[in-house]
Amino acid sequence: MHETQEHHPTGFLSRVVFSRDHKVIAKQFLFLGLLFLGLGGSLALLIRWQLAFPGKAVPIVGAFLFKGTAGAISPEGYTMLFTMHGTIMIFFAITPMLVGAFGNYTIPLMIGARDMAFPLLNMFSFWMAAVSGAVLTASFFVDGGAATAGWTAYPPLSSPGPTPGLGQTMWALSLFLGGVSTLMGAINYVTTILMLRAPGMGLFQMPLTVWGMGLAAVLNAVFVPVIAAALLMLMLDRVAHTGYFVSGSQPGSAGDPLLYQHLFWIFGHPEVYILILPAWGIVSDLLAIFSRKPAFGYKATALSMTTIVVMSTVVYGHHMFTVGLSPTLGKAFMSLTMLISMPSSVLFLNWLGTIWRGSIRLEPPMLFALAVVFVFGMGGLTGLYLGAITTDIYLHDTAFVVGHFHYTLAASVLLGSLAAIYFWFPKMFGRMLSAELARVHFWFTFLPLNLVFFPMLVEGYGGMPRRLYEPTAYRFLAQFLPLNQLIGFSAVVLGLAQVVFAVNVVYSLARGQTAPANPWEATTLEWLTASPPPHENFQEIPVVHRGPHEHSLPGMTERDWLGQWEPKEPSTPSDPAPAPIPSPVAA
Amino acid sequence: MTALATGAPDSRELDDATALVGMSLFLGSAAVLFGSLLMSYAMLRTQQPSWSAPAPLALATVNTLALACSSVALALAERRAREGARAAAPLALTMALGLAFLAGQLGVWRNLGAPAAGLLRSVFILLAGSHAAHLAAAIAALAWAFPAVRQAPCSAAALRRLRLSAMFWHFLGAAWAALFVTLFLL
Repeated sequence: MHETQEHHPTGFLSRVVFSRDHKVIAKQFLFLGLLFLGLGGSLALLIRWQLAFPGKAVPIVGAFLFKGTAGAISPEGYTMLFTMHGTIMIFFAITPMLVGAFGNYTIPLMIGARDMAFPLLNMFSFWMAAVSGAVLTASFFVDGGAATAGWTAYPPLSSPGPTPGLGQTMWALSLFLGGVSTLMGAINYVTTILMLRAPGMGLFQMPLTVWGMGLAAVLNAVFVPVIAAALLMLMLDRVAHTGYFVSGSQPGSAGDPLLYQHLFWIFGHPEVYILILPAWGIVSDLLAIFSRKPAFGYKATALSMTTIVVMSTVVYGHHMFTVGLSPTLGKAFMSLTMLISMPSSVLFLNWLGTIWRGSIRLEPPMLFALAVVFVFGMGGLTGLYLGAITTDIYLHDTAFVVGHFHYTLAASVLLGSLAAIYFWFPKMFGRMLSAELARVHFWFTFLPLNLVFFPMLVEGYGGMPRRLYEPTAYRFLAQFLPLNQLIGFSAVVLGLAQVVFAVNVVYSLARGQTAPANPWEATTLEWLTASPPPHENFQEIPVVHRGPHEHSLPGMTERDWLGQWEPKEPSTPSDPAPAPIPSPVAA
Repeated sequence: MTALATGAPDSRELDDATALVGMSLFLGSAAVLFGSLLMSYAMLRTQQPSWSAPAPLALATVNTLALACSSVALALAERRAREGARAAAPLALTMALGLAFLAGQLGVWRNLGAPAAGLLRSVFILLAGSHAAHLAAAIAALAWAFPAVRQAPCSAAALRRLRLSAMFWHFLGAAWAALFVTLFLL
């Protein structure tokens, strides 16, 4: 047997900064993501200030941030704010937190591996993400400021004519580098899951978190190169004036702005699933663990996620119903989009089946997981209106779209990330987070979140376009000013609630209660090893004997769970059959 | 358990199968990149009022032959290394032919003019330029494998390096074949 510590790096640089240990890289990604989450959230507050009090000076920070306009946000500043808010949240907050941090942390531990398949590549993946984030952050400070063409950066808006600044070019470069980082991670994740599972861990013994992470990585490996191609052309258009996306920029030739939209959404629609799949997987596991039941329809859940991954590749056209697609093509995309509801419903109903008659423990991770079920339901239902051509033509580019994708992405994914943090924090740092502060954080996040995003659906239904500097200047939209102020106040409460979270994290890191190896009485492999796990994770690679959620099964007497690593009792025919104990999950 | 479950889970060393899977995934992603660029090319070309083959065909053909020969030389180097013989000469020839290909591509570009001179030329530079960047990386990969492969017989790790770099190299050969046909012959 190998000595577990034989390759333990000792220097500060190799242990903390340029570490190849997936657990350290996961923490680096986590803090990178949290940092950008704070930045992106602050930008959101500025956006909401402008919409609630158009043209008024921003209190406290306005005099410092917007000197030229006496503290008020200018129209150009406003476009920059929503562009950078979207970009930062999607590519630099959610992606590092869910895919980077929890993908890195959970995959090797949950499948019983010592590390990722390619630890050096893993390190490069993080540092590429850090460079990419630095480029994006630096773009705030160049002449002309950061990008202003929206997070989608459609040409000709993102072409050198309308947005000549260096910031827009840095935006494209930063996303390109981020794509390289993501691709390195994706190759690592898929290879690790395929090749490094512990003995006995078949694909259908894997926790659903690993399913979600693996499927998201497959989508990344396939579709990140598509946006890389688009960004490459965008950069060449901007730097070398090539004109791929600009019609008539050169004599005798015609570029095509729609080409960018096709490439962007061929990637962009799978990207939605790249972000949500890890959250789905995590929630599926958490619901089972905190309901003390096996996940209802485990195989169906895993296969629904797989079906959704396959189908997500052929529906991107529903983002382009209004660009003048052929009606036949539009109808095809609509039908395919509607078909995705079927595997999604299987997944959703399985969640409800999992908590049905379970012995629910309302620990903080479970609160957030249940909240994901609610907000994802809201996001899914509002998606139907946007997937159908007739309603989409009316709702396109309104606040309804903003409300919808914030319910699916911001709300589901943010709450899913928080559930993951509350769940794995004891394993990552060896300390428990305060459950009392967590409950305060939960309610002051979940309720304001809905007060922020639900009114957007109403406003969009009432015809309010997204991205306008002062939509309530129009007479028919003036009625929405009070609603915008409600959203603004709720957003401030939502922001302040995150201070509670930050306090909890900092306090618990220093003074939190020491975490046992398995504080949640969970069944997956990461809870077998110490909290935090040693270098190379396991003293001895575990052998997997059972499925990922063996809770409250008939015959369990002392405790209501059996870890995946616990061997099955050899059945001796002479023994009398064990009397079934009454369990909360009556058969 | 299942056939997919790993054979040697506790090994800390990279094994051949894992490396092969990782490289295959990378090549799959690279194929999507070239596919996206070709799709963009098709979309742009079909919208042009007129079309003329953009580049000197003779030089491009010589280039293509050089790259094809480099793949043959590399296959030879791989076989020699596998059999325990010296593989340095065919490997050096592969890299030389790769560099010659890059120089030849540069020559083609010279005859095309500046990037801004026309959309069709821009598209050529996008496709061939992306390919050239990847081929430069492949030359670097071979150079990285070279010192270890020079010894005969070489170690298993050296053989793996050579094999992975060769996969990348042959992939780029096939990608260039597709690009050459699309750009110069269609």
